[in-house]
Amino acid sequence: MWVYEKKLQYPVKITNTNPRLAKQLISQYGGPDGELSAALRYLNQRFTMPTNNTKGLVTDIGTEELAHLEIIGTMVYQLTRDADREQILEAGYDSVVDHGRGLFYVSATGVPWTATYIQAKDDPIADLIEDMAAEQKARATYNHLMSLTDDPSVLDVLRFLREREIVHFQRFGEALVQVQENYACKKVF
Amino acid sequence: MNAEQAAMLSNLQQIGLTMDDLRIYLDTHLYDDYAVALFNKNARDYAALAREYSRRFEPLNATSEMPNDEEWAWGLGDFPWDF
Repeated sequence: MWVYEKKLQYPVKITNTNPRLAKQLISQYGGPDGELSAALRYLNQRFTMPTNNTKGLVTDIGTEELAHLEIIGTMVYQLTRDADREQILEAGYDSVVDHGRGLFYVSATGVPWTATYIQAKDDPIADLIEDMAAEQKARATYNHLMSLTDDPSVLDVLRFLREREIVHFQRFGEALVQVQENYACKKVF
Repeated sequence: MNAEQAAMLSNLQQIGLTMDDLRIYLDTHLYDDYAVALFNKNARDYAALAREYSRRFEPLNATSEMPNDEEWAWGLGDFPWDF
């Protein structure tokens, strides 16, 4: 189970209103390589991971992705909460038609989140390599987002999240090597 | 949130993040005794600080003790997206 902690993993304080940027950031909320996809992918893979250590790793990284989902949600919310009618119209923040100021799991192009973004193969090699690719895709998405803004309070958080993708990629890679060595050992002895 | 509470929360965030990073490092480096000791030091600091924070200001998490026996304090302070 999980216990909620009433704090963000990394502080977010955005005072600028920018619904256009929110429309782009939402992809890391409910887009193909976003934090929801990441959290659900890893937490769901736990059941068939081959060792307790790999179960621990996907549990811990999956849990951190939930914290990142909350960080992205906070950014989208803070960028739109004070937007007036004119700013919403100018940015084309048409999410308000269906959701008001509420957040929804969609990509930057408006595609709703779908389970087809993730896989589960009951095969640790396939699963861990998918995880490594997912971290790189998320890193690239953060790169794209960082090229679209010069707001320092947004860039600081995006830089943190991008760094975590790199760390997770490294950890999944180490787990993959350990799983492969484990298989090799069984054949030898 | 007053400045004192904000400072303590920031401290909790820093120690918490250190632990998040050490945790997944240790998931693939089980026998790095330096890192385990570092994790344990941070875990002790975090537990002590979280307890003090929950008693003085508001509960940090869903299993925290309430600051007093009179009031349910989970919604006493803002949630983190409302600063």
